[in-house]
Amino acid sequence: MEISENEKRRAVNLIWNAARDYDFDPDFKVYDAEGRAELYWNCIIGAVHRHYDWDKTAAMFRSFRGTENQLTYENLAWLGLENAAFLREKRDRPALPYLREHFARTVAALPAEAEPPVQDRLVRAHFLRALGQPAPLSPEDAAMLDALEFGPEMDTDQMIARTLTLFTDRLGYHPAGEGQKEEPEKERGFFLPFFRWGRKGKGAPPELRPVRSFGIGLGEHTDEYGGEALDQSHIRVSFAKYTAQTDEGLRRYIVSCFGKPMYDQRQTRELERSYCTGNHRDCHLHFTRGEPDELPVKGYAVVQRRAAEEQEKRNRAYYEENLARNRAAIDRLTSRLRNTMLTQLETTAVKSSAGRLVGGRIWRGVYLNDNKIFEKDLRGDAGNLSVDILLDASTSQIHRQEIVSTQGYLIAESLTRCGLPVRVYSFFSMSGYTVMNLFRDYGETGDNANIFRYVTNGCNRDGLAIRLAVGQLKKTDCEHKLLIILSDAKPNDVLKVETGRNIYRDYTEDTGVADTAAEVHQARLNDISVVCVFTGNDEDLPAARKIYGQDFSRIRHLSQFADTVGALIQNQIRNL
Amino acid sequence: MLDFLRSEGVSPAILSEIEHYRNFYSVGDAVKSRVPSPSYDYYGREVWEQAAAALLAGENLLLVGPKATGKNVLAEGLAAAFGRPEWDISFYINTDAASLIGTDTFENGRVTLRRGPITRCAEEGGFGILDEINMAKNESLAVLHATLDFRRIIDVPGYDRISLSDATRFIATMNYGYAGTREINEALASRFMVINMPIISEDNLKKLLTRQFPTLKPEYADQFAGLFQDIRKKCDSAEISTKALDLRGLLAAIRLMRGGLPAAQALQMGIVNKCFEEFERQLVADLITVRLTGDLTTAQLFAD
Repeated sequence: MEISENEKRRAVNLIWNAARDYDFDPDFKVYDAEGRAELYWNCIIGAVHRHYDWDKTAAMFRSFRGTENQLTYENLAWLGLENAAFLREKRDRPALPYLREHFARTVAALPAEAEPPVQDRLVRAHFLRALGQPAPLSPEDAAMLDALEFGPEMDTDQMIARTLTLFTDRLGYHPAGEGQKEEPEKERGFFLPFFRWGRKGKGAPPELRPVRSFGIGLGEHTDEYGGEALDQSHIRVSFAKYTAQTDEGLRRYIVSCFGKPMYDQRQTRELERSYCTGNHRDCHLHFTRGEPDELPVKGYAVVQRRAAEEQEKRNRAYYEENLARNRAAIDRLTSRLRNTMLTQLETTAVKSSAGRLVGGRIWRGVYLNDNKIFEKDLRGDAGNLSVDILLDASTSQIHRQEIVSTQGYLIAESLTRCGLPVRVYSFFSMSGYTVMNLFRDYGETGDNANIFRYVTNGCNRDGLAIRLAVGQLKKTDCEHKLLIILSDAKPNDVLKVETGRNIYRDYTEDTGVADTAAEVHQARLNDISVVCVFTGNDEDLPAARKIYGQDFSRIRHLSQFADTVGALIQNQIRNL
Repeated sequence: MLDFLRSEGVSPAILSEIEHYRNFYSVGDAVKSRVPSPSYDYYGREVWEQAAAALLAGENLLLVGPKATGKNVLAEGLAAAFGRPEWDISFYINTDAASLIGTDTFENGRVTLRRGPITRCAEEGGFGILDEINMAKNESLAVLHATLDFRRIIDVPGYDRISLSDATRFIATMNYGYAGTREINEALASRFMVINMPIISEDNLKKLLTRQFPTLKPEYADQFAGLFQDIRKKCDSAEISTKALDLRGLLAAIRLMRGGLPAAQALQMGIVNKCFEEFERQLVADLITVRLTGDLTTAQLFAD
């Protein structure tokens, strides 16, 4: 069973809420047997954080790691914490006893095993007691359970001391060193059998490694109890879907490869919440200006950065090589656009029944009862058009990097010379992240050369990139908005799209094209004009047509660039 | 209203100034109906004192704060406390000079000025509530500069200049603090005294609930106030949007509970369903589930 991103978020939200601390990074979450966030237990985890010293309890749990009875210790320690946190928290939260009762009933309803291990016996008895039912236990077990059911008056140190004494006396626990056996990394913390009566089938599937059964459901130990134990060196990208630990590792990897983020984590979460929905659920976002992170880089990130620098040199060299032709193209494009703007975007006065009085029309009011003797200006000045340029930076463009960067630069420079606000991004996707690299923002008129930093990587989730660009455009004050996309119209990404319950399709070909077309349509419904400068091959023309309709043009040779793109943008300006 | 301020502990000196102001400026019969009688009270002595002192000194006010901080409740409360007619002017992207000041129109064979709300408010000595002032373009608001600063005039080309009545004040509100909001420029901001509206505290929210619903049992007033704080924390940490952070919705839900609807259903309508995204609804529903049991009835919630 796979635990969905939403349920993970839900679990962590429950914990934050009970902890009243959204900075807390819970490394342990609980799900029910169906993989849904468990209401009661996640509240308890939050309550433990709120009422007790989390660092000390985390240190206690770490001391269990690698011991033979790790599972027994973990379960029984949580049982004690649950009792104590429940008694403290229920004063503030009258609904908690009901949630506990509900959980206890689920435990009680499970069939009892013939010879359950000690933790199963005690946990079952504990929750039977919570229901006020008799719990048949041996006198020894009963004494242990009594000792473990901590009262609300105990503090963290007292609870830990009593827990460890109990474990040492009754279960042969040896603190630090003795009795602990070194386990290889790959076996630690995965698939440990917990309450066997709570487990379904033959055990969790391999992808749930850090998620092992807990209580009657599953517990997700994202970093084996706390930050100190976190070891990033073994992180592999393929794990990213299943644990928060690797999520963080992947995020850092993306940052070190492609530059530090423009937004802090909170803002990024906000963006992901608004944009990564529907077909793009589970996607992550990384907005960057390509500025290197201060942290030292190693491995692939070094290679990646060096390759990007090399490519920038090649892009600039390509532009310089054809300097005369490129300058001519900029001039032609600039004058074409300027003319169009002069003729199309003047303020127009319309007659109306209120506004600026036109003396010559007053007689119409008196004799013809026509109240339209005023004029009102309809705004349409050039300052009210803003243009965003989106460069597809997926690996399918790898052989055209120099051409695409030059084309992007030509358009941006011409628009800048016309005095239009321009913003330029490139986009690509990698390991579930859609990276938006901002080369230049509206006010930065002298920074068009940053576009030469364009370099290709990974896949392209065109639909999401367009959705993001449209979202950013919607925030601008300009009345008219134009989005120009330089793309080969070949959407393709590793994260699949859920088209039905548990039916997934690759984000490529028809699915990708349909999704991108839908986003373009959505943009147009929002009064944003979208045009494409098609950079791909003949066989992809039908896809481009599907996505952009009439509004794309194909550049067969750079010498025609100014005229072709000029005509395309002119059309858009005329239609504003 | 003044009794309420007294009970809130507002300084007697300020209260006597307000009384003096009320006695000094009369209200024309034609606009008497515009003097508000608020259904909600704003709690917070300090904010009341700051706001009243600024208005007494002849300043205009800008109330800045995120959603559900009581900006409009305070603005309306101030108009009520000062006993002035109120004009509510909502700002939007296409707000322009004509829609604020007025525009020429043709009536009975004559060109006349159709007076806009700002002009009316200025002439009648009213309190103008400029709601969401940051939603308008700064350039459109330049026309208000002379109105809002020491000149206190409105100059409409082709007509006499209109001087503001001495009693006229403007109170602008501005939503700020969450992503996606816009700023106003310095020229405009310098014409206001600015109050950063504090987030309503749990205690004040409890007071508000108990005043609105005198029979609500205190332990449940605690839970509803706590729930609202839970939702706010979730918004602050950007886990959910501010759609569910809806004080009006919470009050309406409690009103429905008073009328006999089970708590779960009332909160569903008043709060949960304000979120249109499925997952967000789930998160908000979880907040409610871990605070209040689903089967709460009117008899359990209210003392009578």
